[in-house]
Amino acid sequence: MKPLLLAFALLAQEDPNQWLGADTVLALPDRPTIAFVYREESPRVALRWFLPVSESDAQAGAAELLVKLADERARSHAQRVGASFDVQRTPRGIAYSVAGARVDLDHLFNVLRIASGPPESDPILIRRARESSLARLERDQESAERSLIARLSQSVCPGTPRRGGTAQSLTGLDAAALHSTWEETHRPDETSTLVIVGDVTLELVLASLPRLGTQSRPNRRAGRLYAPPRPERTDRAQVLRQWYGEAWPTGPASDPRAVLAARLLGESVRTLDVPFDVTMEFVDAGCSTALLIAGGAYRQNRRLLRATVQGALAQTRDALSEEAVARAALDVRREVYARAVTEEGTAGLVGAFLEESGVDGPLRRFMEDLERLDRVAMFDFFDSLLARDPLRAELDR
Amino acid sequence: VTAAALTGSVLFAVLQGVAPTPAADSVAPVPDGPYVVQVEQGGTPMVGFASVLPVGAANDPEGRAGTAWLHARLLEASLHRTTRFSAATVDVEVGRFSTDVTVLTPRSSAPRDLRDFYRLIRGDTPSTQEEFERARSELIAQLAFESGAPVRQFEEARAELVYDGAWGGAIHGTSEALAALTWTEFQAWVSGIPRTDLLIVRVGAADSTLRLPGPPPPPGRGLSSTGRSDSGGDQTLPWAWAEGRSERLVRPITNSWVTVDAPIRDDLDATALGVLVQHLEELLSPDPPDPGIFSAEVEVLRSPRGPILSVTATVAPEVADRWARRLERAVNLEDLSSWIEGGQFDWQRRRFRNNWLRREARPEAKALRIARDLLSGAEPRDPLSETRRLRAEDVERLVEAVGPARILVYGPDLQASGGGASR
Repeated sequence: MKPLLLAFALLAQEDPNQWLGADTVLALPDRPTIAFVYREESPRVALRWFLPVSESDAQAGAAELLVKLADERARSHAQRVGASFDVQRTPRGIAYSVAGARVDLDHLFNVLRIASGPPESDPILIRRARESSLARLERDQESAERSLIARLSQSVCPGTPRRGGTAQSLTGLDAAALHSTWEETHRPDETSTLVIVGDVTLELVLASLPRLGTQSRPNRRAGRLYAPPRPERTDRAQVLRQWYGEAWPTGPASDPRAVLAARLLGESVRTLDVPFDVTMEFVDAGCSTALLIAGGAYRQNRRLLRATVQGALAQTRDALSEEAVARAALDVRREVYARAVTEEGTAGLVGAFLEESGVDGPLRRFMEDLERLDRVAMFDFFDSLLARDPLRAELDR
Repeated sequence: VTAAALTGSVLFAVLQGVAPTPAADSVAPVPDGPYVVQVEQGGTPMVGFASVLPVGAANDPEGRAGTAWLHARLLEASLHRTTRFSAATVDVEVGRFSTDVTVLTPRSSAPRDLRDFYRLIRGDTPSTQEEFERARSELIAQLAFESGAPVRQFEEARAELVYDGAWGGAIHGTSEALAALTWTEFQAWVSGIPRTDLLIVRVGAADSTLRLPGPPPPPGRGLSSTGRSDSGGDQTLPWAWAEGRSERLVRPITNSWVTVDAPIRDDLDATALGVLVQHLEELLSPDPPDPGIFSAEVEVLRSPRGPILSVTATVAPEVADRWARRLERAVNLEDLSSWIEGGQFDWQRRRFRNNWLRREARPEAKALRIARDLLSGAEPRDPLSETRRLRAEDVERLVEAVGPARILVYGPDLQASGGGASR
């Protein structure tokens, strides 16, 4: 029996995807859902705490401001011991990540506590963060291409507030509003997910949890802000050319066909032989991922531009080869493995898939499904996209 | 992983006897082949291999600068080709005296990739003449594009400063030299690479097929075999040179390059030296950022005369002299008390430990460092125990170990052009 078990154990070790999922997922009431990815004897540990955020129109951009403030607050604490630190506004919330030596675990939790702590009330710090968001918003609005991409991206999940905020919402986000959003979202309960990669005991983690986030109950009323009506300045881009774009919703990011389609379409768009620029982006808009294709051309080429954008997906499908699909799949695998090699990389990957699906295992499934994809499967996927009408947007002079 | 555990998990495998058709999951055993050292690192989906070939730009034949560079590009292309089905990433870096070869690959394809890596390192699958011609043409085109670029001129001036003209100039060579290089010359050069003493270090989940009996490799092999016996210096000196100097190379360019290079004794504690390197890197990345400095690099250069601590920075011309003086003081450890006294050393050590562990979270980076440790004749170091034993006194001892610095400031003369003060 023993040799048989050993043989199975050895076979299991050959699965390259076995490290791409949690070994244990622990769901306790009023505690973050904890996903352990055990790395035996690893001298490093990575922690990633994800908190879901759903903003109202008036709160749009609040999470991004919280991210900027947290980054400024916690980065120097992480740097003091040389730990890695990152905080991101993800499509579905805020993710705090910290990684370093296992012997520094206390310090790492402290960095996580400081990062996820209450936002500053200093109006200068808040104004600086707000101005940074406003500058990005205006930059997107001033560029025709960015403006079109933002509009297409926004159309994928209609009714969802703009993740980075609007001029109106950002203006209304003061210290009280930010604190209110923080209180509403930063509760260490089961809706949040803590991914731990390394060789750490459960006892140590549980002992550190009560120090994270806010302990107060959310004040639902305080979270709903009223921002004074202010006309939104849109489409201020200096449009010299005709711009046209299409968006094709491709479902969840955990569907490897969507990721592969983005690769293949991107490659196809890069090799287009047309007298204007065409760009392709793959976005995760929250409710769905989407392939965005957009381009700008002078008047004499406007018809060609439309035909190019409208035909890009079908052209990619028709040019599919077994070799191209295999190469694209290999590139995706290479990127996933290269990222998973570090503890923080694994925490980021496992956490991102967990936050999307809420259950463990989708990353492993993603990798397994990816290996099975061939030309026929991708042809069918492109066909299923082409059976629907895309979302469209255009900018004219 | 403690030092004892690390040593225990390092499996030395000398591969013997020839297998006519090696299985896909094993390494072809050959006589006099490279030693394969296996270091177990569990819980990671990837495996890293590394090897250090004892040839670099210093081994370029006379009038054929760029030969080692061309060889590296061909080796890299071969590695890309052999690992094309395995989601692996490969890298070949040419230095003055050695060439680092690394592969990072998923565990499932590691046995096959290690077999191919092994054959390439041994030189069993040389490039064809057609591949040679194509790579040479690409490099010549690249060099023509970079011809006269300040970065290349600076590289040559720095090589002259550090090596006194011995062991070559620019690592990339010149387009003329590469154009003159024939296929026959190249083949002869490649066949002359000493390969019997090579090491391959494999880091990742253990592979039982590599557990072959054999003695450990003799210490301190490889790096000293540069192919040139003349070290070109006074071997009684503790350092690569006895006197420092300061040079200025005036060129009408928009940025200035500053290099401060100091010889260091050969017997230094590698970990303490690493802390000094980290301090210099932090000095060059001040917080808040200094608008006058654009990029910086700190490295320990190896040469037959002895190691050299080298700091290079790209700075705004008006602050070039200030940075040169600041770097010289730091390299000479004149500012030592400011960063190792009080609780500062403990923070420095913790940062050092985290940076080390982060770097080596990548198995191929760990494999390369272990290969270098072994080739220098040392036991493979363990980051945790090394940083735990480190004391401020270990760094203080470096004060006596640093020789006189050579400084080069390369850039515009603002005084002559009326643009500001200059030394």
